[in-house]
Amino acid sequence: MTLHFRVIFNNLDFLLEGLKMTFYISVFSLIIGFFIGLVVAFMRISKNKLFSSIAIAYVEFFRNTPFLVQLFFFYFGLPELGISTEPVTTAIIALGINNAAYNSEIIRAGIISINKGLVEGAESLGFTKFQIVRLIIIPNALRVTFKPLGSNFINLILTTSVAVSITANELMSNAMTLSSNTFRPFEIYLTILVLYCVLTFSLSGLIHFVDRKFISKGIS
Amino acid sequence: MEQYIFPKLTSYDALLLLKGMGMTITVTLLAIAIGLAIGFFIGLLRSLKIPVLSKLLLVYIEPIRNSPLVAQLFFAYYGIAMVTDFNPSAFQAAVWTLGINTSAFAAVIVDASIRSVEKGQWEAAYSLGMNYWKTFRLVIVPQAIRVFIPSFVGLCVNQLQVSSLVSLIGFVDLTRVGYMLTLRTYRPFLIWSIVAVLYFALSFPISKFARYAESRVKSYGKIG
Repeated sequence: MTLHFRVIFNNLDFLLEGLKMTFYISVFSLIIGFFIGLVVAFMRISKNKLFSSIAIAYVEFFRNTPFLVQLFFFYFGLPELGISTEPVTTAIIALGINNAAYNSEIIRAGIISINKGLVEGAESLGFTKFQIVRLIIIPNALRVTFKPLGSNFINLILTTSVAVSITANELMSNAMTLSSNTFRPFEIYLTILVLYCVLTFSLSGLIHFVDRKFISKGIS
Repeated sequence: MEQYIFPKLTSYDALLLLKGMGMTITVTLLAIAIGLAIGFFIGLLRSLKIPVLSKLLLVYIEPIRNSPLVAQLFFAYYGIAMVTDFNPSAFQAAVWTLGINTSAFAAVIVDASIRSVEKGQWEAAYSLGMNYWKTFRLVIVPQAIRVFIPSFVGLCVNQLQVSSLVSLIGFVDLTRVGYMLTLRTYRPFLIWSIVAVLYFALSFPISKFARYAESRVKSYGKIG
C-alpha cells in the first residue's frame, strides 16, 4: 500500500475551484433558505388556518423526504413540465427550499419564546404591526435562534455534497471527477473529508465566537 | 408525424419500488442497530468524563458529525477498496458507513441523556450502597430513557432520509429504483413524486411519534 498525496497537490486548483463553488452554492441557498424560512415561520403561527396548514404541509413534506429525492425531482422532474434546469441553480434552489423547512421550525420556536410583554409594550407605544415585527419580533427571535440557525447552516454546507449526484462542480463533484481521472480515491476522499471537517469546525468556532461576543451578550 | 409513445408503468415497476423500499428499510434498520450498539458504548464512556479518554472519543465523534455522508460513503466504498485487500460490497459499505455515521450521533444523544439525570440521583443511590451498574440500571436508565427516546427517534428519521445517499454508490434502494425507472419510462416527474411519497409514508409516522414522545417527556412530572 503506497499513498500518493501528490495527486492532491498537483490538482489543488481544481479542488479549490470546487470549494469556491461549494461556498457559492452554500451562501445563496443560505439566503434563500433564511427568507423562505422566515415567511413560513410567520405563516405557521398565523391565525389564518389556510396559511398555517400550508406551512405545516411544507415543513412536513420537506423534512420527511430525502434531499436527494427532492434534488432529483427538481433536476429531472421539472424539465418535463417545460422548466429547464441547470445543475448549480437547481442545487441552490433545492437546498434553499429544503433548508427553509428546518429554519422555519427554529425561527418559529424563537418567535414563540419572545416575551408577550415586549410586544404589548410596543403596541402601547403606538408601533404599527409591521414595525413590531420588524423592530421587536425579528431581532429578538434571531438572537435566540442564532446558534441553531448556525448549526443548520453547517448542515447545509455538508448537504451541498449531495449535489455530486447532478454534478454541480462543487467540491464533492470535483473530487469525484479527480478520483475517476487519477484512480486515487483513497487519498482524494480522505483529503475531502478532512477539508469538510476543517471548514465546518472553523465555521462552528466562528458561530460560537460571534454568538458569545455579540449576540448572546447580556442574555443570561 | 409519428409520436413517441412513452412506456407505461407496469405492475412490475410497482414491485420494484416495493423491493427498493424494503432495501431502504433494511439498510436503515441495520445501520441503526450498529449505530446504537457502538453509540451506546461510546456515549456511556463519554458520560464517565474520564479526562483523556473523553477527549479521544471526541476525535471519533466530531469528524463523523462534521463531514458529509456522501464523502464518507465514497471513501469507504471506493477509497478503502483501492488501498487494502478488503473489498466491501455496496451493501456492506452502505450498512457499515451509515451505521458508523449513526453511532457518532447516537453517542452524543446517549451521553446527553445520561448527563440529563441529576447528580444527586447518583449520590443518593451510592449512599444507599448501590454500585455503579446497579445505579445505572435501576436509577439512571429509567430517567435517562425519557430524554433519549425522542432524540433517538428523531435521529432514526434523519438516518432514513440520508440512507437515500447509498444509492450514489450503486446500492439498489428506493432512490436507485426511482432512478432506474426514470431511465426506463422517461417520466421523471411522476416517478420522483411517487418515490417522494413513499419516503414520506415511511418517515412521517415515525417523526410524528418523535414529536409525540417529546411532548410526553416535556409534560412528564408537571403538576396540572
